[in-house]
Amino acid sequence: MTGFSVRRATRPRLRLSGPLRLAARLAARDLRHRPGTGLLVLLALLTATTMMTLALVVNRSARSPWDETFAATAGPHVVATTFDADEATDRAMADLAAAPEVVARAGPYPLLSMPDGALEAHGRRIGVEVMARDGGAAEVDRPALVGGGWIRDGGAVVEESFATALRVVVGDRFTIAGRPFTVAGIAVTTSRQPTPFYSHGLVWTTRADAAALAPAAANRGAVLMLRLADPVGAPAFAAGHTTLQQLYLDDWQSTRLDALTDVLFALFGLIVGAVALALLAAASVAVAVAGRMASQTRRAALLKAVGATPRFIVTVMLAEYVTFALLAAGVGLLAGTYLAPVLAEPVPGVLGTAPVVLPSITTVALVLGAATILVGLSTLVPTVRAARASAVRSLANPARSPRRSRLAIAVSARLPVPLLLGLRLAARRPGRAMLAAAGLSVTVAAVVVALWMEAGIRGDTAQVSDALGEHAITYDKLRLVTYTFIAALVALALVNAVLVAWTTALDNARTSALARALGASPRQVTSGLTVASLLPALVAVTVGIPAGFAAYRAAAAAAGGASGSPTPAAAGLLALLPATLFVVAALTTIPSHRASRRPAIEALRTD
Amino acid sequence: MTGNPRQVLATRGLTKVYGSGPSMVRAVDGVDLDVQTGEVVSVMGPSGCGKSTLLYLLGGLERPTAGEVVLAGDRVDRLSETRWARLRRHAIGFVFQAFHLVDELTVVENVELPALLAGATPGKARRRAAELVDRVGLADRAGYLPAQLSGGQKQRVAVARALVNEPLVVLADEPTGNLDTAATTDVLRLFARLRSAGQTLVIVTHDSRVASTADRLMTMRDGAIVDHTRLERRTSTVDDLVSSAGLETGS
Repeated sequence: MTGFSVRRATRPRLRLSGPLRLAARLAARDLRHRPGTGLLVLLALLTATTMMTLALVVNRSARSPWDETFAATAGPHVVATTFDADEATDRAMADLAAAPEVVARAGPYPLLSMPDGALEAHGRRIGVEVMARDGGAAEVDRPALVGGGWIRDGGAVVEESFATALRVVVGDRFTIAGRPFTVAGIAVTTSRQPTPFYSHGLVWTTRADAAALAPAAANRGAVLMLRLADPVGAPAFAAGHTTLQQLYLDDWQSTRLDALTDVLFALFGLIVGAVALALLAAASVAVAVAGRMASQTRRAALLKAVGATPRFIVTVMLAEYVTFALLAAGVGLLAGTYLAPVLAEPVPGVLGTAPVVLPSITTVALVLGAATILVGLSTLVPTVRAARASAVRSLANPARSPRRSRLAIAVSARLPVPLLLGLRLAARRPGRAMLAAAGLSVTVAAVVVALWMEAGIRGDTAQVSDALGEHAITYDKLRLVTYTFIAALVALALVNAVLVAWTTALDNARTSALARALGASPRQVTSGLTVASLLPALVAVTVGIPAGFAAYRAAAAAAGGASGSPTPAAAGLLALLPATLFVVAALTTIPSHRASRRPAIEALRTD
Repeated sequence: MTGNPRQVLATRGLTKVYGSGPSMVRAVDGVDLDVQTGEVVSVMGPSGCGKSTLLYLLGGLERPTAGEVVLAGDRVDRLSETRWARLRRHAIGFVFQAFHLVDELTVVENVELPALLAGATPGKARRRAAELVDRVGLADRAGYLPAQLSGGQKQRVAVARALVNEPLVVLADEPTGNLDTAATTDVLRLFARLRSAGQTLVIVTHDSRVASTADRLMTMRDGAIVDHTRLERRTSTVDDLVSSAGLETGS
């Protein structure tokens, strides 16, 4: 009897849940140990997935209100308008109405362009167009009432977007060329774009009232509404029947596109935002992973030493980030779905509301897939590298050897101490510096796009404000999207910058401590770390501003023009340089200053 | 304490306490120490007795809980981190057990680093570094990276780096702790030459062979100095010194 018991060889029982449970437990412990990094990564992913969901859901739900209105009002496929009616235009309109492609028509109706300031409501005076209509329902273009009743003598119907801009409701009184009217009703139409895209507001009156107003009109024209047998062929019909210079033919497709301009522009913002935020989130995750690589490599080596296979180690290390991705995708899908109606809510001028549209299976798959791929791409390579590294070497020195840059060392020797330290610190990890520069470049480029969008809104709003004061309601949504985009971008950029600063300070803790042991002052070390962060920031601004310009130009060109759109103020763009450098410097200074106040020996001991 | 012109480093009642309450540890407990110019002092003791902490307190890498540190006649224990850093540049050279060389810098670049930090011109720093690299016997490896050197060679680089600004005192923390016998011999030869040149050295070690090469030997236990011995120097040459420590002389 030796007192020792010998375990008999038994057939190992396969318990599939064991490794998975262990992987989950290790990931959970790691998260509990470092909640700050986990939270930042989660926030980055969540912002990206929410924006992604918004772009996909708004794309689906935003177009339907106009289409509903078009169907409900028997919208015209082609509208022929003249502002200067004479015999020639009357003949041309008669020819149009008789064309074989036409299956139904309404009009011609008299159309009066009243001079600027002709309409007075609530003490404000602006121009207006008056369309004379009949009492009964027309075959084409039956404006749908959203309040009140149809026209009567002395009672006008105001187009809804115009009524909203004027702040008039049913029963209010107003005058046109001094002639008093009551708001008999408020209605929507798809025969023209809503205010303010159409430069003048529209009011329907009886033929008698219009006739009374005619002497005061700046122009007396007419409008004819047509429905075609082949609605898709409307543009070709309009092009083929443009015979008179003063007769304008508009097809329903271009009217629809113009009416949806704000939604499409907002959608463009959302797509650019989603892509930019996804790239930024990827950069944030990659920076976070890089920052923790030394501890993760040591952890991988320890697991390997106790018998874990490389595959198990990869599973453990990926489990945490994949969980973040799935969690962020789930919450992002929910948040995006419930935020979408705010952006897709139809503007005044069309019928209906934008209900909460549940994301389609494709949307769910896209968001889940994108979040997982994003995390996978950012983590897989370093994770596999850590799992395959020699356990002995990893335990002895978990950090990857820094790069030696002969040029940076030679050049920095001639520089003041902060620059000497900064240049050398940046040159140690060129990959990480490039990653930081790439993340910041995306931020700067996206801010340039956002500034451009903002400039566009300002330009258009100013144009419209001339006529409608501050009530350019249609732009509110666009502004909301732009500001949401900017807010999300800034939040994510800050997350990214904090992670970069944290990684830089962490990665250089030993070198900084050594520099202090050799006589560098805390301020010199802090300045050195700040310089190390500012170098990628400088590259980011240099690359990001032209990249933002190029991205906006390309996207605007693809969206059909905007070459003449207002450009952001040069001062705003120039301010990006010092602003970016200042933010990066401030965010780097805080952790490095804190680190430099701790005894240097702590960092050297933990080496 | 400021009356003795030969005294370069002294402490009175130096104390370092970590933690509080039941978990409180007195790593250094009321240490009084006097080091004269050109003297070599060894501090011995078992692991965890506080000898490394004492060394870090002397070099300003740790802040004392109580007591005084006087360097070249000036009280320095209350200096700010920045003032300590400036003082270290010229007055103190550190040699660590783990070498702590900058991995991506060559031998000569590692050695010139403190000189550059102290504001020396690149040319002057390089000349001084090359001279020291030559003196520690690594002239032929001046362009090597630390990864290409043996442990003993790395420590010789660390010693050269500690000397580049001609410090008043070199503080060495277990300088042979990571070295084999041959490499230990190399380092001891170097220290013996420094001693001959009048360099003041404080060496913390748990290796009695290294400790025996000093002028004075102090033994620490539980944070306090428990024994103080002046060693008789019977040998005069470097080889004698190394041989007296019981080490090979052939390398």
